[in-house]
Amino acid sequence: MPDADAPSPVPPARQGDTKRSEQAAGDPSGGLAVRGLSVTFRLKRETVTALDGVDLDLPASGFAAVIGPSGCGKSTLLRVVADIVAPSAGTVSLGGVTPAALRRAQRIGFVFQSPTLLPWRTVRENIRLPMALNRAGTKPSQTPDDLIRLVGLEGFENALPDQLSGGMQQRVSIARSLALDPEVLLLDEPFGALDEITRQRMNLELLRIWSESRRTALLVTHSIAEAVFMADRVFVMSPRPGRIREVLDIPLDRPRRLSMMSEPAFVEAVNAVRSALFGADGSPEAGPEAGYDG
Amino acid sequence: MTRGGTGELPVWAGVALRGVASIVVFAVAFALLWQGAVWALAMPPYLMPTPLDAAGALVGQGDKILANALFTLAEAGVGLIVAAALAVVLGGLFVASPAAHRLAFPWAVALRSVPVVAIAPIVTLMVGRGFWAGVTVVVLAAFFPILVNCMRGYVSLPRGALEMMHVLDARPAEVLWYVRLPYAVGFVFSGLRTAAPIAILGAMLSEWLTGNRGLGYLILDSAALRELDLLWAAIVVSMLLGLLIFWTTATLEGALRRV
Amino acid sequence: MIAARLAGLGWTVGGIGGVLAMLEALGAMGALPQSVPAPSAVAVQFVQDRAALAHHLAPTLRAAVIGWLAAVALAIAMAGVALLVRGAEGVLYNFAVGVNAIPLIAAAPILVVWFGTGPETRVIVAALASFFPVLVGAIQGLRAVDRSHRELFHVLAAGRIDRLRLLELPGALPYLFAGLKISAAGAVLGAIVSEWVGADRGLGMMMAYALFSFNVPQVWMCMAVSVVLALGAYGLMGGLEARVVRWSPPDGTGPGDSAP
Repeated sequence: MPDADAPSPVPPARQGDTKRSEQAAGDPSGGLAVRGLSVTFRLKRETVTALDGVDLDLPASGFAAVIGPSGCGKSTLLRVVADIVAPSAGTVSLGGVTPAALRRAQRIGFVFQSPTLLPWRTVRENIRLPMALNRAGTKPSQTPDDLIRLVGLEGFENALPDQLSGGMQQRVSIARSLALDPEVLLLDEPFGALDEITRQRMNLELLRIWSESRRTALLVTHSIAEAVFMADRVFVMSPRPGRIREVLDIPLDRPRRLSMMSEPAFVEAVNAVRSALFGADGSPEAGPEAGYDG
Repeated sequence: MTRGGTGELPVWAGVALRGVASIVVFAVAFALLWQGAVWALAMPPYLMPTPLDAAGALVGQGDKILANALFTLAEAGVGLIVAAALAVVLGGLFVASPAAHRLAFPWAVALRSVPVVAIAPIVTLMVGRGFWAGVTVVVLAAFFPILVNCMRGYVSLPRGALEMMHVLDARPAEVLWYVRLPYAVGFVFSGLRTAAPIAILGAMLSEWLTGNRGLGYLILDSAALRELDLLWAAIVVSMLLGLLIFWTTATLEGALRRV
Repeated sequence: MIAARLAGLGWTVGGIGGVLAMLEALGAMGALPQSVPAPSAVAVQFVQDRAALAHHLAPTLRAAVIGWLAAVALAIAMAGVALLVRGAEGVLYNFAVGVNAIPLIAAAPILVVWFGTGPETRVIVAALASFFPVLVGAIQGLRAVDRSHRELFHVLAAGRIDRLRLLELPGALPYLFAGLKISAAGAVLGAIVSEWVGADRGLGMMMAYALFSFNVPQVWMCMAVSVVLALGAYGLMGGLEARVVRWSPPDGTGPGDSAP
């Protein structure tokens, strides 16, 4: 088991317009707070440390991105927050409750890398699935048809998933994740399999959907531009063992528009994330290749 | 059956080892169950011999059992090889055009699932009552499972592989040798593995009808003569034969796939 | 789509018709071997034997249906138990694949020793021939649930029953049907083959009798009836599958369809 009191992974301050975030010690009101989180896996005879002493804070209604090379444990981090993976050490608090409690209350929205739709259920039936499983007695604020309109799939209500394109399938998956008004929205490289153009469009839609409900959102991605464009705060991770190397606040206004991508603030933020990933001199010490992203 | 090998051994060796081990485990468990059943049900010897009695028959009439088992094994083996060769060639023809593929594939799938063994009487009519009748039944029964897999293998090829060969200006024979066959090999052998038990069964069932040699004949004959020790010994041997040929093909499959 | 299917059907019917016509022409020219009758002779035999055929068909069909139903019920029950006991499905699956490699039907003479040539033997052999494909298909199907779907149901805090009802059972259906199709045809074969060993009545017995008395058209007629029965049983399950499984199932759902 790794030492929970490992030296702070945060390196010394950096210059530039992009401000370092203040890591609040306490639980920010209703947001996500991760303290000293470590995860180790046993693979045959060796022990793999996927996450090592991770601290993370995200205020309620904030949108954060986690970025890092393959194998840095960013997916594992998301899975701990969703109570899919159990931590070996450390705590996670979502608005003051544990992930397990929040999951049992059915208030976690998770969007997987692949759409993960049930092939025998229509679009509407897939979106209704969480409602069919609703034991917590939540009264959903939106009907499946509201959600279908929200993600722009009118006319495809009765289509089966394999009749839809990849982008449309992922829209269904997003609508499904919102079905029970989740407290937190967890997105695991949701558009990683889509082409750049579709991806751009889906990102804009995701921001629109998010701005309508303002849920706390955590996005895992390996695209620097995507992380900066989407998030208020970017957590940069390094692999083996997975640590948070830097936390960067993005000083861009909302709503975000594609034209912002050419503004100096955006370019500066992208540069900041890039040098956090590769080091200031651009040496590939944390190359994006190699490793299984657990 | 795709999990990693045992320690440092290659995967196919692991498969082979586990095959042998599972055959031994099966034989021991079967003998224990058998003895238990004889005791528990108080089976009289004219209904069910004990494993020891059967073992006695296995030793005492070993020559007879061995000769008949080899006959059946030969029918199944030759039949499997012919069926595989036919399937590789005809499968290649059936995937030559998309239209041929669309026509042939559903029939191949349906006939794979239908027990072709049942046409053994016609084969007996046409081929006569010898070794080749058994082989023909095995070929007919084993052909379709292998064919289905062959056709899958030929079309499962990633398009990029063919386009790369085209860019390299490869001749059709080179495409076949370097790309199509290596991709199809795994499929052919997984078809062989499916067909192997069918082959043994087909050989034995055809011997019921053609009946003068083979394990199937021996089983039927000893049952008719109420030589139960011999009957049970022959049946156990037939089961081991089925497992043996199944694990042999599974091992070959593992070795040739170079997983 | 439909036009292509119709064209395929046309080619198939045309192909079979063509072969039959060719056989008929060869028969008319006297060019067929003694062991191959002209199709018309088989048809005439069918009309002549229709009463006897009905007499022999009844016990065979009954045995196939009873044996199949028993085998399906038992196999699904076993798969269900395997689902409840943690780790049991892997063991049961390997066991089923192994036993499936054993020519169990060849042990039918033992049953004749125990039960005589009555209906018990037929039913048991039909059940033996259909049991393992269903078991293998059912377990394969229950194991086929992929990781992300499991995680989805976990995140949604689904209960055990909901997971079974909404995820595992529907997901297993394509695999189960692959097993059901094979086993339906297998049950027919099992019943027929067990009658080769000895029976007082039955299609298999009629077939064996025709063979030993060298009644060539009758052998072919019995053959054609068995093939139609087996394909019909397969097609019946296929039709049911098409009604139940409306999504495109994953490729390679048949037992032995393990793609490399």
